[in-house]
Amino acid sequence: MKNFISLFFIVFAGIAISWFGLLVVGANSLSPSEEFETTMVVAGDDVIITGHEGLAARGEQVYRALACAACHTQQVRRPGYGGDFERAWGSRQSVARDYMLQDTVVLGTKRLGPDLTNVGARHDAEWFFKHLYNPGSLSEVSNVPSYSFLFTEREMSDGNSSNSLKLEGNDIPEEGFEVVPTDDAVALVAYLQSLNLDYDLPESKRIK
Amino acid sequence: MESSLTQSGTSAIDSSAKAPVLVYLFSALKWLFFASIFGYLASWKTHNPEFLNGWSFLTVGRVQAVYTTAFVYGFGCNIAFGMGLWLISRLSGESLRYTIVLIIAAFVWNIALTVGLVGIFMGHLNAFEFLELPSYVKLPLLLASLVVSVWGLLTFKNRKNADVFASEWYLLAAFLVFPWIQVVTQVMLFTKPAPGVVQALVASWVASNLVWLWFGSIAVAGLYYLIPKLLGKQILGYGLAKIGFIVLIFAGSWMGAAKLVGGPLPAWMITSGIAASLLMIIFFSITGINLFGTVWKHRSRICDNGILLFVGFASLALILSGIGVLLVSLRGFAEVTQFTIFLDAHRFLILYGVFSMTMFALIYYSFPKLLGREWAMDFMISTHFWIAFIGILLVVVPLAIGGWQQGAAMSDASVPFADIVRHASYWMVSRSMAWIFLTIGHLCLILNVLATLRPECEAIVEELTRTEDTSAGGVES
Repeated sequence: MKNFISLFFIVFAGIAISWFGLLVVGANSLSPSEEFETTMVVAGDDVIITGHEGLAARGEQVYRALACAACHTQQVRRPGYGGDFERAWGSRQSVARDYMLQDTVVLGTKRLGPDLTNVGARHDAEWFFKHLYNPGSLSEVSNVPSYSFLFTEREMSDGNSSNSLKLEGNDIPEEGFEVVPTDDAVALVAYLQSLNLDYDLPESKRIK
Repeated sequence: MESSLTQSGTSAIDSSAKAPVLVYLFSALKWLFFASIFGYLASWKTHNPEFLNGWSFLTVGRVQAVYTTAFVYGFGCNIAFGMGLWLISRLSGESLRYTIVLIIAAFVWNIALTVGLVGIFMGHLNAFEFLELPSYVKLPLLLASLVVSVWGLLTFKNRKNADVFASEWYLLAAFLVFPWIQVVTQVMLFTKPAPGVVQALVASWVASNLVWLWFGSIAVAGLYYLIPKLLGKQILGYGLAKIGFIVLIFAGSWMGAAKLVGGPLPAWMITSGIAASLLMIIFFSITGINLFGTVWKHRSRICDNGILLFVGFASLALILSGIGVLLVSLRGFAEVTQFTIFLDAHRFLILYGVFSMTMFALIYYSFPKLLGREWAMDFMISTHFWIAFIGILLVVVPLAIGGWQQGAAMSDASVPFADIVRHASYWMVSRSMAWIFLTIGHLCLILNVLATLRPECEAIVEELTRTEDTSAGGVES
C-alpha cells in the first residue's frame, strides 16, 4: 500500500461495498412494491398502512423541532426481547412495514421517557394537553419537563373557549382567564394520538 | 516518516502549514469552550429537566443537539482538519500549497456551522443522532470539507517521502470517507429520503462511519505518529498494522446496523452489523498491540512527558472502546443496554477518551513546532491530563453501571418506569460533575495557548493571513 492509486482504491472499494450492500440494497428491498405492499387483508380485516397526514404531519414536525426523540423511542421490540411488551408499549412488535410511508422515521435511540409507538392508544387528547402543560398535574410520576410554552393564557371573551384546558389546583388561571393550546400543541397532540399499533400485519400479529 | 528530511525541510513544511492549521486549531478551541458550556447544560438537563425550562430554544432535546453538534462539528471536525493536514504534510514531506483556500474553507465551515447552530436553537433540527444540523447548511459544510480532503489527498499524492507509514493510510481513509458520508446523508435522508426504516439505517451507518472511519481514523493516525516519535522506539508488531487497517475499512464500515438490534428492520441487516462488529476484534487486537503494547513496553517512561500520558490513555481507551463495540453488538448484551445511558458511556469513551485525548496530544506536540516556540506553561500539560482523566472516569464508569441497571430494570415490567428514570438520574449527576472537570481541563489548554501566544497577540490577525515563514518565535518585547 505504497501507491496512491491502490490505497485510494482500497478505501473507495471498502466504503462503496458497505454503502451499496447495506443502504442501496436495503432501500430497494424496503420500498413499497408488489412483494411489500401497503394495503392488504389480514384475518378478514382491511389493513391500509398510512404515513402521517394533515394535522398529524404538522405535529410530526413539532415533534422533531422539540427534539422529543432525544428521550423517546418509537419502536416496540419483540415479546421476550427486553420488556417492551410487558410494559404494554405495544401489543405486538413494530416492523418495517409499519413505517414505510412515514416521511421521516424517528425510531430514536434512548429511553429516558417511555416508548411512544403506541401512545395514541393509551391516552386521549385531554390527557396529552394536560401532560404537556404540566406533567406533574396528572397522577403519574413523570420526568418530562413542562412544555407550557406551547400554550397561551388569555382573557376570556365570552365564557370558556371550547379548547381551553380544564386545569386543577395551582394551574387554574386567574379569574376571567383561560389557558388554550397553540397551533403547535394541537398539531403535536394530533400526531401523538395518531401513533398506534392497533392493527395486525401478516408478519406481526397482536398478542391478546 | 520525515526523519529522512533535514531539519530545514521540516520547518519549511511547518511554516507552510502554520496559517491554515492554526486557523482550524483556534476555531476548534473556540467551539470546545462553547461545547463545554452546553455539555454541562445538556447533562444537567437530563437529570433535572426543569432547569432553565420554559423557552422552546432551551428545551432539553435542543440543548443536547447543540452540544453534540458543537462538539462533533465544531471541535471535532476543526481539529481533525487541522491536525490531519499537519500530519499529512509532515509525513509526506510536502508543503501545503495554496493555503489561502484552506483558510477560506475554514471560514465557510465555521460560518455555516454557526448558522446551523442558530437553526437548531430555532427548531430546524433533524431527529437523527449526530445529523441534527439543518439541511440548509449541509452544502457549504460539504464544500469546505471537500477542500480539506482534496488538499490532503493531493499533498499525499505529491509526497517526497517514498515510505508510506500507517498514519498515512488512516489519514487517506479519513479524507476520503468524510465527504462521502456527508453526500450519503444529504441524498438519502434529505434530498430524496430513503423509504421508511431505511432512514434509520442510513443515519446509523453514517453515525458509525463518522465515529470510526472519520474521527477514529484521524485518532489512530495521530497515535501511530506520536507513539514512535515520543518514545523514539518502533511500533510493536508493525508488520500486522496493514491487516488492522484493511479490517477497519472493509468490516468497520458495516458496523452501523448493529446499533439497531431489536429494531423494526430485516434481520439480515442487523446480523451484518453484528458480524462486522465481531470481525473488528482483529482491528482492535492488532491496533491495540501496536499502540498500547508499544506504550506499555516502555511504561517506565510514561510520566516523563505529559503528551505521553494523553497518548497512552487514548490507546488504552481504544482497546476498551473495542471491547465495548463487541459487547453491545451481542444480542443478549444489547437486550439490556439498548436505549440506555450505557451507550452514552461507550460513545463518550470513543469520542473523548480516544479521539479528543489524541487530539489534545497532537495539539501539545504540534503547536510549539508550528510556532517555533515552547509552551509558556509546560507543567499545565500533565495537569490538563489528570483533570481530564478524572472527568472521563466520572462520565464513563457511572454511566456504564447506571446504564446496565437502567436496562436490567426496564426488562422487568414490575419496576415502574418513572422509578427507573429517577434512579438513572443519580448516575447522570456524575456526568454533570465530570463536565466541570472537563471544562477546567479545556481552560488549561486554552490558557496555555493564549499564554504562549502572548508576545504576538496583537499581531494575531496578521499572523493568520501570512503564509510565509515569519520565524518570529520567542521574542519578548
